[in-house]
Amino acid sequence: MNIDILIKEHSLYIDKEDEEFINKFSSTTGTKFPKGKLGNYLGSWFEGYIYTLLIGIITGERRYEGFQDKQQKMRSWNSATLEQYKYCISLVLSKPDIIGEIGLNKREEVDKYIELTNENESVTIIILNKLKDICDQFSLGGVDFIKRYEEQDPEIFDDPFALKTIFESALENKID
Amino acid sequence: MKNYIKSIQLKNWFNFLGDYSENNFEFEPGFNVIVAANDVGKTKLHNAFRWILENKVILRKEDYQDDEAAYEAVSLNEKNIVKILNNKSYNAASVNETIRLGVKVHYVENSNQSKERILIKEIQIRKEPDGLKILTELKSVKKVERGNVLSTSELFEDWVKKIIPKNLRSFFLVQGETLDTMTPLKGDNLKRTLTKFVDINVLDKFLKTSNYASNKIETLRQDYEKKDNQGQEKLEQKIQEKTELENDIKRLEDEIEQYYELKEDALKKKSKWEKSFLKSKENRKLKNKLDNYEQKIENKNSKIEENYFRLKENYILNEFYFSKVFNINTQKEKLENSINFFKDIMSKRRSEIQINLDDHIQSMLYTLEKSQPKPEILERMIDEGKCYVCSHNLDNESKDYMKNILIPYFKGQLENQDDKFLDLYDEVHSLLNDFRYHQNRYETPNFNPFDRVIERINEAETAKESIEEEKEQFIEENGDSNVKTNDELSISTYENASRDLEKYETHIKNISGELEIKKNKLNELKNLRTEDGEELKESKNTLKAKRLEEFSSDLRNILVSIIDKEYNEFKNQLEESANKNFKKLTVTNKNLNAQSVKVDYKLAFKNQPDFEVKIVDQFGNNMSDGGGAAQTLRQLALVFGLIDMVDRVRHPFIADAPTSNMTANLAFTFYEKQLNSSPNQNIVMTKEFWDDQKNDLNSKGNELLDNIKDNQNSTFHIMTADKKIALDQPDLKIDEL
Repeated sequence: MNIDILIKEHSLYIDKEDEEFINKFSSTTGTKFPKGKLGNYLGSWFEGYIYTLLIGIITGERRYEGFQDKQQKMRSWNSATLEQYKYCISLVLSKPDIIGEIGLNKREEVDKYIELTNENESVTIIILNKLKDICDQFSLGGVDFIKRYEEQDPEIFDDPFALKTIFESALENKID
Repeated sequence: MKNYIKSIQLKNWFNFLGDYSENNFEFEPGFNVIVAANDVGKTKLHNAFRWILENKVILRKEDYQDDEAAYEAVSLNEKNIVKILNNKSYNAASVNETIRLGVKVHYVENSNQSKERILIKEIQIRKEPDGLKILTELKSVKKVERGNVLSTSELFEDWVKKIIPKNLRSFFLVQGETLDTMTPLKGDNLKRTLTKFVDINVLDKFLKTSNYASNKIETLRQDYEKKDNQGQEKLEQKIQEKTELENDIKRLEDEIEQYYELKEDALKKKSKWEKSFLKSKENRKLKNKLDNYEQKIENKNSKIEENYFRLKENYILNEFYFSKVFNINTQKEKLENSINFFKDIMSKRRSEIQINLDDHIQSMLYTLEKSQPKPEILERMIDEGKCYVCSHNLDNESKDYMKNILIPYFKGQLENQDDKFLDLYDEVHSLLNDFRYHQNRYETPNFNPFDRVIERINEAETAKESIEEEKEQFIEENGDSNVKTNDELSISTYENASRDLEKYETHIKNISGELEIKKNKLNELKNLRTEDGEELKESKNTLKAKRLEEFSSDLRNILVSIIDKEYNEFKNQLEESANKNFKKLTVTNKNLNAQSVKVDYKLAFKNQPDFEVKIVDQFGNNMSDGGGAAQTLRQLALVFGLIDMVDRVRHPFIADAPTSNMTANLAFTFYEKQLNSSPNQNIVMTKEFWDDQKNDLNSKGNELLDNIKDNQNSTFHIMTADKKIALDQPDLKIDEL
């Protein structure tokens, strides 16, 4: 089973309530933004999503309740950010509690997967979907982190290196 | 005493409805001013004077272009008479009814003894279904003696000439809107106007006559020569040649003259466009330079943008963020741990395959799995009944365990039949392995591209700033590019004129060369000799003609030098006289008063005088392009300069809105000057003293009125429109104060 193909099936979502804020540092069109915006602006919501996801993973900030107003931006994942997305999933998988959360560290939980496989569902797809939901929560957590940062420094996005500054601040709050 | 107009009366003339007695303007011999708002009838009143004196009226052109004058002086005809005839009279008349319109001027001439005349000019019109038909024009003169109006056989035209002679009308009858076209300040029109006043006009004519005479003499001499040579047949051919040469020379001289004229035109065009051409060229140069700066700035912007883009595209998203996240080795370890968690469960589960075996056996099997005992050896051990490890004999129980469990297990015959579990294990394991493998993708710990890229961005920013500074400084020194659409036009017009000029000069040069050759040839032929060497005999007539030819050439040279001198003298006088008036007119304006009028003169091609009236500042710089008030002042200074110079009779000065371009102060100065010092009668129509909002005289108007009240020789009129019919053609209410 080609995992890349399965991951590419993932849709790109956004929380509609965050979109106006996200537009301060990233396009939310889902496709490439025309060249011309400077370095502090991410050209597509794929890039923005990866950026917020990384921040969420680093700081451990995660919005467990998920989207408040979920809206699909792209039906499937784009090739340009597939590598980064996969890497992020691997980072999520490295978190000690995640293996437990997706039910791979308890026999009873694994048995449940076997039951699901009996209903002809692919275990890979189920696990990847679970990971995707967790990624979404980390990405939303990343957005919350950036929101808090902006509350403290409202002019942050006037700085061409705002994204770098925020990222470095996230690294300072890194959890292992 | 001076000559003056005592009154003017109008009948059905424009908005002046009714008979003469209803539209009567009385004047005094001094200063008379008529104040009115726009569209009340100033120009229409002025037109009444113009119609009497010049047989023309000034009307607005129907479809004039922006670059030409809006008004023109035209004669009355059936097409435009409808504009002049009072609208109400026209509407009130029935078809085929005859209507009259006309003007009466009461004129007083004070030469040896006072003469009073009334000049009447009327037009009889018939209203027809499709317009108006002019029936007759009536002109008559009445004389006034001791208060009685009597008939006289004197001619209307003779009296018109007396009121203002034809050559003075450009200056004594002026209209603000058309001032610049009617009293021109340079070019042929000015020359024509000025030469009317200069006595050397006679000299000009003399010069022309002398040229004409020279030509005649030349032809005469040729005829005589021909006669002289009759009988000298052998010379005939040469004579023929000589005549041909002379004709050729004449033709070439005509031709060259034409080219000189063309050259003159091209020169004029070139000098007219020179200023705008130079400006346009400067503009173009400036624009190119600024474009260049813009291009450089644009390049730097691209560089900055490119680096930002590179920063984001190549480094931030692909390398930097990920390299910074976690230590790659720790990360690998962590993922390995996660995978091991899963593997542990799976191993445990796998050991639970043999559900009927107890835990101990399962544990043993799992432990043995690492040493992979071969089933064939186990079989040999059963056959021999001996354990190869401890060399003890095997009991039956042991043999059964080996036969039924160990050997099938290592032969793979006891493997778990739960395929789904195995598939799940493989699938999940492969998924986790995939991610494990993927972690190697970002093995660039502490990768930092920022310093390098930021340095490049900063370099470009600094370079851009310095270019911008340079550009600002350049703009400060040279001005911003202000490229107008007609820049290209002025460049091409000027260049075309230059090309034409060059072309004509080449033609002139070529023809001159040809002329020289022909003249030399002619010289060679001058003393014709017979083949025997005998000199050609010239008759007395030929000799006389030759002497006459020499004389006429000398005469022409003398005339030209006299003409030049006369014009120069005239120019000096005019300059002085115009300047005197200019200084008086600008007494309230320091800036303008520091300037002065300059009259340029040169004897141009074909000995024609060329004049130009300019205004120069104290350093001699030409300020004539100022337009507006300065332009009008220049006109008026010239007008009064000429009047002072040439008017010995003191004709009335009639002007409509002569100060329309001036400020209130300058206008007031003009009227004060005219009121206090003009030796002529002035009849001036103006709106400068009217306040449209108050619908009354403004403060300057009141001031002038006060001054006029004290002066018995002057009048002050106010014309107002009757509001009831003001939207159409207003009738008048005339208040004499």
